Amino acid sequence: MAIMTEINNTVKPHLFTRLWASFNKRQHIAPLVVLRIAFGTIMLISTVRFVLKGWVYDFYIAPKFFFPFYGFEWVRPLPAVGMYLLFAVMAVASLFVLIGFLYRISISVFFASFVYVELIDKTYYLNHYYFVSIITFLLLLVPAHRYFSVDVMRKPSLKVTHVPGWTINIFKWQLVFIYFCAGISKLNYDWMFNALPLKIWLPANGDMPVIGPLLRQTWVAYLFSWFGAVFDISIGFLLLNKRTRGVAYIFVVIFHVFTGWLFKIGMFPYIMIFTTVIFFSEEYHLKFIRRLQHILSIRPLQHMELPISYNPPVARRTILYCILGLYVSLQLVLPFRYLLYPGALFWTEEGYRFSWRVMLMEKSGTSFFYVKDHATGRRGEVNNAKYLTPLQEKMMSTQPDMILQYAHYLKDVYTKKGIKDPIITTECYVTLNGSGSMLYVDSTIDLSKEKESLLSKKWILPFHQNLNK
Amino acid sequence: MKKRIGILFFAGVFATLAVVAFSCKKTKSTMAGGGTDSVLINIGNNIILPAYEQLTSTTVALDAAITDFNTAPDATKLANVQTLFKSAYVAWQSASEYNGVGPAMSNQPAFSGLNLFPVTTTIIDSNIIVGNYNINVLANATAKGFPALDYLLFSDGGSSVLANYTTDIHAANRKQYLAAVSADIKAEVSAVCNAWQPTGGNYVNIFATNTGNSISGSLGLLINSLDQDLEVLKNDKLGIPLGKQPPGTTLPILPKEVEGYYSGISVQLALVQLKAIQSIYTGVITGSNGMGLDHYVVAVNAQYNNGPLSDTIKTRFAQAVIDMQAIPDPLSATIQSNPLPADNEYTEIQRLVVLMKTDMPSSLGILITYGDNDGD
Repeated sequence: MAIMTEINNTVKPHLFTRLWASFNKRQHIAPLVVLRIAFGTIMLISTVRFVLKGWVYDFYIAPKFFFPFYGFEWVRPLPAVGMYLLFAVMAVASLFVLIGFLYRISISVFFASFVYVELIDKTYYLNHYYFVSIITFLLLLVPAHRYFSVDVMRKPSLKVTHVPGWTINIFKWQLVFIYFCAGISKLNYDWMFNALPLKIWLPANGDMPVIGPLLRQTWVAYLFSWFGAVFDISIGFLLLNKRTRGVAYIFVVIFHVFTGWLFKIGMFPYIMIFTTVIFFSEEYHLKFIRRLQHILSIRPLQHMELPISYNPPVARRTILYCILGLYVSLQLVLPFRYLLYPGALFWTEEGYRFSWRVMLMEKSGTSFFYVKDHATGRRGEVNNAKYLTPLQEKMMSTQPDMILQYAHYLKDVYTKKGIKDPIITTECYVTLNGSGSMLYVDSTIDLSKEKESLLSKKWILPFHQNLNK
Repeated sequence: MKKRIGILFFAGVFATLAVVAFSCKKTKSTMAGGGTDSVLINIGNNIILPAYEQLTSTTVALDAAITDFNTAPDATKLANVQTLFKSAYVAWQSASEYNGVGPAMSNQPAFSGLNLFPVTTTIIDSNIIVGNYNINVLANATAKGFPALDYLLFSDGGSSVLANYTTDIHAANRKQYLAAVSADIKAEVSAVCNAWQPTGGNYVNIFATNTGNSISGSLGLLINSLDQDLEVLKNDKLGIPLGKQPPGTTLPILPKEVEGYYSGISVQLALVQLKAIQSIYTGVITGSNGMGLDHYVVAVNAQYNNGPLSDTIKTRFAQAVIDMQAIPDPLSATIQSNPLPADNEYTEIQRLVVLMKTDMPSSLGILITYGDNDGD
């Protein structure tokens, strides 16, 4: 036994030792540089696409009211010209990130602008916007511009060839964690044993050429559900493993392209396809860079390069390590905070966001809001379309924190109209994964008196599972 | 090995771009005419097209009668115009469901503007006195369309309707205004109807072939448009007159805000509208049972309260029709003397709104979404 252990120790170092090595060991900077280029490219495309779709106007200029995030109620949109300018700034910043020009400033500007826009209204919250925010944040911490960049051309002393492992591995860890979380969130009864919501969504694409008729088959919904769960849980690890990497990446491409084709999920598939290139080896990335250099004929091929290591000063390194520690802990905890709340997670959505839960439910609702005058006892129904856009109304009607925000807004509106302490109630009906619509929140509760907090909302009615699904 | 991975990566990127290009192309070709859908064919050909044709013929007949009336107004001609107005207004109720689809949608707000009520009579009166106006400017938005005709043809203004067109000092101007409003209705209606016709814009074909579950697919457009129409019925035709709007400075009940206040046919109009929405769901038109939206809902075996969703929707439609028939016209008087039947119907239609806006689209996976969805 003792001999066995000894052999194991020499062949396979202790896990902690390996982790520390992957954290600190010098690696070539190439993967980081390619990630910078890929991410800058996809962000540039995303930003331009967002503007061209007219969403700057639809989402941030047209609405009368916005749903800011808890703790960020002070975030307000800029006037129309400001919003368009901001998107122009984001497009320019992503281009600068791509070419590595004024990198630290560009990536900071992009991060700040992007997060600001996301914080304005949670109606538009998508996991992939959250993903973009955190990848941008991580790019802020690493020296992705110190090789093959305009910055290095302008100031050659910036150039480094080798960086500590963490600057690359933090992205790998993040991606593995995201896929894994997305995978385990699929391990619920509806997804695995009722093939829901895919059983609803796939037949809706039944008119598609070639595969349309297949999508109407129930077994296909089950196959997709199980494949999706297995894919999400395992793909991160398969990408990490050198032997399975190539095949895994093909699966990443096929899977994301196919889901992008089936569902209206915008840029997300392409963002993932571009970001997961980080898993490839440094040799591959270096070759990619050499080829780019050749195509751009920026400078002659340099086969021999003196290694220069990235060594930030100790003080800076300490700060970076602290930020990373905090960041990783937060990431590890956030997806599981739902455990602190009672009730069915998909129904209450308490602790649902920022948890990599994607495409898990078909949820829809209709809400009627009532304003009652204390003094006269008269009650009237609000025409939601007067205050909200169709998309805002739709999203609000299935998310309790947004219902409360809207109720508080109505309180302000009608107080200004001269009603003292208006009573705001709602009759809201929601259907979840084909359950059939049910009353969602207590229709007798005066929402104007309820305070928003991170505590569980007692006025959300319990979810009654439909018996003959 | 390195080379192989490199090739894999480029193959991946290439495949991505190819599929992106392919899927973009796919959307276009579907719009132009890929597959067809028997429900959409039935609704387009047997429900929507006849509704627009009926609206066209009644508005044409009305306009001709108004021209004739204007040459020499008398009681018989007035009665004829009034009757034809009522049939045109009734025909509108079976066509307003498609205001958010295709030709009518691209002709907004002008087309919906044909039934913007309550009418602002002071604007009409002053337009008539001045005799110089363009009824298509925003300032005249509530001084045109069917509500304007309702006022012009049924409000006696203190003497008699006929006197307004004969002995009144503004009779000539009033005749002119009546003709202008009617001509505008006729033109708007015929443009939209023509765009649907196979011999015209042939939108009926585009409608049948624009399949798919997106907001811009025919089904998404139709359901959205129907839901909006149902909410107009609930909020504008019943809710506001019943005083259901939030308390403010206005009076509790607003009888003058009903649709068709002067002709007093509000309930008759609302009933036709309700039945039109019902027929799109059931597919039943004048006895023959074609395929309606119920066909989809039954096909996916959608459930509601431990029973088939489709049965619930049909039951609620039938009940809403019964409850509507229980309201005596004129609605403006009923809501003052006995608001209970109208109040019941308001609640009944609210139930329908939930089923049609939440349960039905959700069970069909229709994306009533305007931005991107969440990905995987």
